[in-house]
Amino acid sequence: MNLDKLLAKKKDLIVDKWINSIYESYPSETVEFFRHQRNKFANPVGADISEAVGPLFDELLNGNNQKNMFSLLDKIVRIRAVQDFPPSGAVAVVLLLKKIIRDETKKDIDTDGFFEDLLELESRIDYCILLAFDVYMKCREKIWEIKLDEFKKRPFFVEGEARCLSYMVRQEQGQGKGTKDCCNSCGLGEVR
Amino acid sequence: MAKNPEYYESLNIDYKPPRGNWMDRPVDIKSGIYCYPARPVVLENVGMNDRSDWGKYWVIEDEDWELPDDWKERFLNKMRDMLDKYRTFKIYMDICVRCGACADKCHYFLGSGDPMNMPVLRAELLRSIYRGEFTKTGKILGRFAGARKLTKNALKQLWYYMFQCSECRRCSVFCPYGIDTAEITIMGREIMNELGMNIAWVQESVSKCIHTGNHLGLQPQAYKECIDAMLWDIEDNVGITFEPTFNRKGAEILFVTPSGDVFADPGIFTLAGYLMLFEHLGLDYTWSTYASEGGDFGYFTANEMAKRMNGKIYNEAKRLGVKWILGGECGHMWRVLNQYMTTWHGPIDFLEEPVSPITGTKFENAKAHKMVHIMEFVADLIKHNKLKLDPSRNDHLKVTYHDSCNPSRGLGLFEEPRYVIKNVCNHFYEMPENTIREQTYCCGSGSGLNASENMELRLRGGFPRQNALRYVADKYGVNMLACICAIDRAALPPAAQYWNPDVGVTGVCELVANALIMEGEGERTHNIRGFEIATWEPEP
Ligand code: SF4
Ligand code: SF4
Repeated sequence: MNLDKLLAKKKDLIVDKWINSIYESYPSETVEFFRHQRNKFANPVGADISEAVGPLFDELLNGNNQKNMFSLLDKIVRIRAVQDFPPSGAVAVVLLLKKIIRDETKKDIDTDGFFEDLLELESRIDYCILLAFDVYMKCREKIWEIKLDEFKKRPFFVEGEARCLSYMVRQEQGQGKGTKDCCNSCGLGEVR
Repeated sequence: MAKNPEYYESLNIDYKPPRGNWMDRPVDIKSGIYCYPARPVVLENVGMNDRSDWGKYWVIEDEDWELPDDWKERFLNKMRDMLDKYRTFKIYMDICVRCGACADKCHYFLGSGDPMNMPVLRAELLRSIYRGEFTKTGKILGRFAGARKLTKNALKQLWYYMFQCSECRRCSVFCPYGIDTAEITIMGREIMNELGMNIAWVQESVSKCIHTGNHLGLQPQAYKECIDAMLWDIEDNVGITFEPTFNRKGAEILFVTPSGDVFADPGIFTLAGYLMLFEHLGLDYTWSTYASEGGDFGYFTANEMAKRMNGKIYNEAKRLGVKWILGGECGHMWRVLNQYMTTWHGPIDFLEEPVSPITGTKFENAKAHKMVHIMEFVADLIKHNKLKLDPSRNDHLKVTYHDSCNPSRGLGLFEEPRYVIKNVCNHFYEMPENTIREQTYCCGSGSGLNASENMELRLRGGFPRQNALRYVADKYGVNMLACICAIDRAALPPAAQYWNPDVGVTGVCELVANALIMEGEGERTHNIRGFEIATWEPEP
């Protein structure tokens, strides 16, 4: 049997294994939960993973449409970009598929042309990992943009002139200590 | 090409995290998840433990947290005091049967996949210390009874995860025993205050509230200037000029709202709603620059601090001699005043039972604390046909409503905001049932966690809400998320930028402002944000 046919036949099994191996990159208590809670609003991470993986597999086998792949990867990687994974762990979801496919096709390796087909598919998977990296970077850059935006919106950026009221009152009452001793508890006065 | 079996076998990747008992896991503190610690000066100037008696600064990612020699004693003494003082705390420590009903209900667990964010485990962090240090069985049976001693690792774990709980109380809705994990977080945080371990965002806010009246540190003149600026916008976009009063003695009503509404975008457009509405009604009310903060940031530190901060509202009401208090779109302000205010400061006999001067409706639910929610007030006006409204001005919006945690779970305010929205907008869609009303998901940034440095925590904690939002955005084309909490208005836009970049965020009173037909208004071609109504596309 050639590779394409074999993979088409084993699709459900492989997709299932792929979903599970992504789940298993989380702690064991969480894996149990991902597997059993079927309501997508009660289990948004598990649902997004399981919804994206099947179409992504199809895309890898048949479509190879970069835009589709990007948006499917986005569903999984966007979440991992804000979780406890290192960058490699965030994009490794794609790599996991390689191992599953190798395990599932081991027996057929001697078939003519099979290995070449496999290498070709693996190259596509490699490319998909690179795409996952693009998604990851896009998300991380967005996070920093959001952080920066928030900092810029903080009142002291706008109210540079403002001074601490308690400080002014203390000064008026002759208890002034000079600006150097401003407690800056309000964040608006002298920076310590 | 020759096939190579070695190549074939070489892919031994394994991303499974290690297994084992959570008590043994060293705490792995990640940047993006924790908030910066409070500076000693902001603790000192509100009279809280500033670490100065052992004079050590504290860097979260350092191995050594520079604790005083007697840190254990301080911690346990405080915990003992609190167990004696608060019966609920003791009960919550004793009765959990670890059934797990709450385990998968926390947005931080759902978004992070970190089981330590399961409410039951969050509480176990403290409960295990309670068992190991305060109960006989725990002392004898140790780990078999789920007990452990207070160690530095345990303290770090506790701190890390108590500041990953937004005190939203979603978990408590599902607990068959009514255990409120938010309350356990509140206790845990107060105990750790003994060691000067609070966070900058909370503590700076507390300090600013005490020194300048509100958490943004706006002084009276700046506070008034912000409102003036909004009045100019109203003049431009609505064609009406008016001047509200500040600190006016003898007004009938004192209006209190979170300061975020006065300063921060998009809260300021909610402010426009209040201003226009009260002007339209000719309400005899006043703003206060002293009680210029609805939010009670003390609530995220310690009971006494919460009481002190909340007291400002009553003090001001008394000083000005008003009859009752009207409160704006704030989140935890409503939990605090509904559940604590009368206990702290009651009986409130210097105020009257609130009665709407426009409709004559008695707000009997506010009999004790004398404070009426703006949504109750507006819903009552609409019900009595006291507002002229043109909902078609909001026709470019497809609106959904986020039940802000505290007004919904802490106050039971479900119908009024929906009633108001449906009267000022023609397109309203609900998010899925298990994500709204009492089951609402937190914005991800409550209880002082909306600092910027912990953005990853906020974004993942906000994911369950955003996931439900994405569903209605895809299905119905929802482009506006309405809410009634100032933290929401600060926290939902960044979360939407990340998860739902085509959805904007608004307060309900902003929608009212746009639909409200005011006496003598000009042609309303622009909305209150200054955008042309016909072409406006909201964004977070
Ligand atoms: S109160 Fe909210 S944030 Fe805290 S543990 Fe419960 S569900 Fe999670
Ligand atoms: S639902 Fe209540 S009793 Fe059950 S584990 Fe959670 S806190 Fe404990």
